[in-house]
Amino acid sequence: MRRYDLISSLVFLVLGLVIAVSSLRINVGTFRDPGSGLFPLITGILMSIIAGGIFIKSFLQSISKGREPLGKDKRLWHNKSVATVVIMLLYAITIEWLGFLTVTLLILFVLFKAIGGLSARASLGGAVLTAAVAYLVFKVWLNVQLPVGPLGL
Amino acid sequence: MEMLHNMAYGFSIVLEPTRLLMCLLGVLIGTLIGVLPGIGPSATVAILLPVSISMGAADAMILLAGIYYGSMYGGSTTSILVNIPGESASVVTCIDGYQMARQGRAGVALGMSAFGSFIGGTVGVLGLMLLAPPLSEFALRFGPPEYFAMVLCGFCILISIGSGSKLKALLIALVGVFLSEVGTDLVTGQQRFTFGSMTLMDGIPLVPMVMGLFGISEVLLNLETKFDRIVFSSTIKNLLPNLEDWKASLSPIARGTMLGFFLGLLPGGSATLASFASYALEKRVSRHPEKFGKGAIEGVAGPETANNAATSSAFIPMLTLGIPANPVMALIMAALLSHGLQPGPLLMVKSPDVFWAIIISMYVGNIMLVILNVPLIGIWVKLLKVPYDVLFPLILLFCLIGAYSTSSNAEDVIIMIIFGVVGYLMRKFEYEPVSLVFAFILTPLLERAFRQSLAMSDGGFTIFLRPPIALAFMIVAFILIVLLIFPLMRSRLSRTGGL
Repeated sequence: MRRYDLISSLVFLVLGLVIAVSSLRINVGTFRDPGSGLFPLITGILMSIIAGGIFIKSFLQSISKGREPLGKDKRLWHNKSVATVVIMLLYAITIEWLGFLTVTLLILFVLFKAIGGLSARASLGGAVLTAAVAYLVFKVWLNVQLPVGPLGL
Repeated sequence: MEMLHNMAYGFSIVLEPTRLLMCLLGVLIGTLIGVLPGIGPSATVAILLPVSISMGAADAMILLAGIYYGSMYGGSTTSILVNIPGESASVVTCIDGYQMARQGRAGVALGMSAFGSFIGGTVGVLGLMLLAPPLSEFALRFGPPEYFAMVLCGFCILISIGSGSKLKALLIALVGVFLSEVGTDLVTGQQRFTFGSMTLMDGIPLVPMVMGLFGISEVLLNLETKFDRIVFSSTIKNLLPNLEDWKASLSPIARGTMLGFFLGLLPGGSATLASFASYALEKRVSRHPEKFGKGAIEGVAGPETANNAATSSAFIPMLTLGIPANPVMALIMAALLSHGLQPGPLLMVKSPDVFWAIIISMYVGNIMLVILNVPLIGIWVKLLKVPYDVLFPLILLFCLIGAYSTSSNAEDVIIMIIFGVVGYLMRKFEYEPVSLVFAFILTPLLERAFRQSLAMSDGGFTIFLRPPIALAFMIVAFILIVLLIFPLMRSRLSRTGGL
């Protein structure tokens, strides 16, 4: 976890500094008469201090135990997780163009088949059934505003 | 007398057929998601939040509350039968519950878990009913300085009692503080960190953020996990505990109720913390601590009671002070707000129907759960055999529809996905999303109270110390900060050889 602590604290250190510097462009005001930028400025400074503390602590602990600060850690990303995120993003991008039913049918099929590892027939059956039930429940019964595609669905 | 009148009023609302149906639906969904590993109450309430907006306020609250406390009942089933906790509050039940199942006592473990849950939940609701009205009246005296001091104190409690690294909890809470600052400053009308986005002008939306942090991230992590769902016992017999089991369990149930109720009140003091604390307490006070881990019924009765008592008491700060004690309460609070209701001291006065409907529905829901849970165990066991490969696309689809329907905007879906990835990374890097969500919700209240207080005092900081209530909160906050810093410094000094 030490490698992860080093990386994450460094990210938060930079983020804190960016927040602090950016908040100076907003009206900071004074402690007695705070402007819109005061809270973000304090947040950014505190974030940088604490992230810096975690970074130093992790670094010193690694050295004191005779380990490489950036030793091997557990795997961060898995193919299935990355693929699922990409599929969801495609869903978000295309839903208003292609309509709810078409996009839902497509992503369910891909999720069942490519990520879930089901057979093509089971994936297709599962996708059609789920999309139909979702359409009936959300669009017809609950009257949720869902986008309609070129097919009118 | 007034209490009885309020109860009768609450029952008259809840016992209407549609409300009873909502209550039943809520507890059934709650039990279901409690049984299924990979989806917890936060994600479910977040998913159903957009749907609940189209219902009446009382109906929606009864449904969402039912999901929350229903999940506590369901969570123990998987812990006992499969050794996989259905949700985090039932992690500790695996230890002795599963051992009991291995010894052929799965029925007794499930039965005691259901009865303990019922007792903890019902006593918790009784406490909620007794404490909420006077606390609401007391909170009416709160002005901006008292609110500032109280929220600050809440932050300190959250960081102090959280598990894992305190520094990391503080750091991630600050990220939550920052995220809540994105959008239009309501005092000055100035834009903060919006980068010209129309969506961000209203701030980061809570529902897609929470759905991402809890729902999507959970699915992404579970995709990497192989669930070996070998149900230990498919035929459950002897659900009713015998006299000896009751004798052993009564004191743990009583202690679990008290402990869970108290921990549920605290910011960040979740049902999970209550169950762990109860297990530790039972092991410490037991005359036979060596039996723990080998199928001690006390290790099931205490924690299962405590987590249900905590779910009931968690409603108190949200309903009376407008402060959510945990992410689920934050979501239920968001549901109240989207119905145009402001949680806090005036809720009981302005919307007594919703206030008492929530409380009384919990009595009714607990009775439904204890009646339904025991005969339905066979069905829950069968559900456990549904492979995750079939389940996860359905969970994702619910999240995607839920995020889209909050404002019929695809940008909300993208925000949810981004927070899903953030939540996934946070868990891998061992940062708790709870602190982030808590800070995100409370910061606007904190900032507004801070600025209003200074405007009232003409910039004088003593306003935070003059009112007795604010002073009391500030003293508690100060003590907690000292207690937080002192061990950190001591461990540092001991490493460097001291001064």
